[in-house]
Amino acid sequence: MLFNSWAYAVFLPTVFIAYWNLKDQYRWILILIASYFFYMCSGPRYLFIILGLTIVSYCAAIQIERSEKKYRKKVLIFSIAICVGVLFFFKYFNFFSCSFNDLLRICGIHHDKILLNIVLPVGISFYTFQIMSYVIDVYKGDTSAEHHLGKYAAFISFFPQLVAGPIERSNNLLKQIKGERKFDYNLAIQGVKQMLWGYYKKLVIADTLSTYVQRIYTKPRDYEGFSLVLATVFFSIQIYCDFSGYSDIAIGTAKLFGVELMQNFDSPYFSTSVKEFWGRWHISLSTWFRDYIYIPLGGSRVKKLRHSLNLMITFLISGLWHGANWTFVVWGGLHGSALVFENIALKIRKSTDYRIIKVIRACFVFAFCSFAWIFFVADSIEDAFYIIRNSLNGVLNLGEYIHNGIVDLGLWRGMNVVISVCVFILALYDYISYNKKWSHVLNKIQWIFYTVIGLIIVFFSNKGVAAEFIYFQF
Amino acid sequence: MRRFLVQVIKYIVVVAIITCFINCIYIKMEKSDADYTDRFKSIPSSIMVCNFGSSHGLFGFDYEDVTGVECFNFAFESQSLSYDSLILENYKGYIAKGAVVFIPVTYPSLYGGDETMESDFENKNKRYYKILPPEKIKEYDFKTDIYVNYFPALTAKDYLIKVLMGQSKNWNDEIWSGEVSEDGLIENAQLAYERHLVKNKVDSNGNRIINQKEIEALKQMIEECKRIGATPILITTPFTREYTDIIEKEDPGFFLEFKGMIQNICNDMDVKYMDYSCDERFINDYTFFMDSDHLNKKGARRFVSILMDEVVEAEY
Repeated sequence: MLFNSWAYAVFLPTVFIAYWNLKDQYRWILILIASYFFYMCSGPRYLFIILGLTIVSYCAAIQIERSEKKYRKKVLIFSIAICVGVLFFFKYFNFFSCSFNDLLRICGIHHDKILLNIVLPVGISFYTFQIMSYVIDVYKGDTSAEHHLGKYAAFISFFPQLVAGPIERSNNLLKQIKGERKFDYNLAIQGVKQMLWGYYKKLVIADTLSTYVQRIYTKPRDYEGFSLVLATVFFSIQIYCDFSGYSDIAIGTAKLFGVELMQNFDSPYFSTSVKEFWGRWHISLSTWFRDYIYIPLGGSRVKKLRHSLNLMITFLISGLWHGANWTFVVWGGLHGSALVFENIALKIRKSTDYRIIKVIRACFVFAFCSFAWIFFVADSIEDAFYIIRNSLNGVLNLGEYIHNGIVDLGLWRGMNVVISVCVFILALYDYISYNKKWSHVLNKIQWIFYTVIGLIIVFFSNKGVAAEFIYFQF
Repeated sequence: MRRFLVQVIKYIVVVAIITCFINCIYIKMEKSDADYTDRFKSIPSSIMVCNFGSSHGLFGFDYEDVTGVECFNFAFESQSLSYDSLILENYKGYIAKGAVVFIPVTYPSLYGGDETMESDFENKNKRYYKILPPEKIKEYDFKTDIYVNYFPALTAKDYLIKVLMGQSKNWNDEIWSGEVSEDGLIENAQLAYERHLVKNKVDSNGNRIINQKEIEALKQMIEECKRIGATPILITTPFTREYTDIIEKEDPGFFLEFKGMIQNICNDMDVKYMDYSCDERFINDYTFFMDSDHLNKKGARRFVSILMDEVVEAEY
């Protein structure tokens, strides 16, 4: 079930009304049933995977808490191996099988590929990571093992964040699911507003831009010049709106149930360094990698070379987490390299920065991120290199270069205006969120603002089959 | 919680009222008839001459100069023969006994796969929600019906702004009134050839796909016309020399194949076929065309006057 489907428009109010009419001690049951129903809508058989992993991690956490130190580690490794194994089987088996086959072919050994004919269960990368963080936290003693299987299952499967995050920690979400909740008017209103903003980003901006991005990126070799640049910039905006839009709807939905999920995006394209970008983009995943991979590797409290290696390892794994393709590994590698470069070469103190320098740096970061997205969105590394090589074809004749690009992309004048206005509103809103001193302006006109947003959604969203969220494939 | 629900409902009501208001203004201001469906609001009651077809029919027949005889153009851009058949089925009550019904058979009409699989089908299909009942609409969708017939502003997107600013216009009408320029005519003909006979029209082995469903629809139309006492006539509208030459050059056996196929249908169904594709009165005169394969307004009037003299009069 998609957040942008009519089914969800019926599902959410039904669960919401039922939830607040139930006694507090039974609410977790409703959450669990609703979450499993929500998940089963994308494939009933996948429920067994989440159920299996929930039971394994539930038992493992209790065992870890009860056992002696030596035995605890074995249980931890076992439960992590199960999670990683399931993820590997569904997500990476075919990728590694193909890569291994290619390697054998290079060595002159011909071997038939072993490929599994399976579909990736929705949200598997997200909930396996949530489960792993819980087990590791119990092992480290940061949290205690949950003894109530139902409430634990509700924590793992909490439907607003089940299929595409934010990847929650037990310290935050489980505590809230277990705790007593009273209806909070302000929180619920905040939730509705956040959902509206999320729908605006997804239905108006991301879905509109996706038409143009797909046109170019499905057959990039049919195009050259500015259309490739424009499609790449459009994808940078699309993926941000698609994913942060999903997160906003998820966080907003959770607020309707009195649950506060962690912030997942914080105006990332205003970042003045790649490091800052990762502190603002997919925060729940970035912090996951920081806490469970980067810091255990030694983090920054090691020698420079080792620190650089730690960064590269973390980002290569992060790339692979996003998708089973070398393009994602290159994407992760590019970001890792940029962070290494920033650490070694750039020693700019923020406090001495003039505003113009900050703007230039933010532009550079956006340009770099857009460049890296080429590998993220391209079907193959060859396609990505084609796009990079041919993006500037004809740039010397600037007027024609731009005009041809716009024509190739099929951007009509009216649509240019709609896209520009919508992206301007997005940038303005993000800037206000980034630069907190202007937030009172938005507060004063908030109902007018959200009415306009509602009208834009009504009039300018794509009508027809609901488009999937990009991060569902991960 | 009650306060919250009231607030949310208030918000929804405000947005809904403004939406309805804008939608009403849009309906009032949108007069461009970009999909050419307005003519169906005033169909003459006893049509004596009419035509169906795709853009070749839509732009190829202009009955404005015809007096004393009720005429009507049922064609739409990219209209398939199966939709021609559905429209005939629905509007046959308006066609008088003894009427002449022109059924254009242009080259793209008999080739290719199922039109519902084409990428622009959904968009193209919307116009039929205005003129046909649900059971006659392919891939009928209730939501689309509501959008098209009651809330057109919701799917207008950037066109909404143009309409609200009073800038809505049927661009095709403007192009139709103009004349084709000789510059770029060969390129235009090449593109038309690819669109009509190559793109989505050949299988992976390069063989042309003959669309049996469309041929069946054509036969059904012929039968239906005869059943209501009308005379169906298959017709190919005039083209420029450039268009015909490109097809001849790229696909030398095509005309033989196409005409053979039409001839078989004519023999089977006992129906007349008039081929004006290479008519000397049009083929070299660019003032009659809006592009390589479509007549302009002047050409359409001339074509209709020729048909009235040569075909319709002969039928009475």
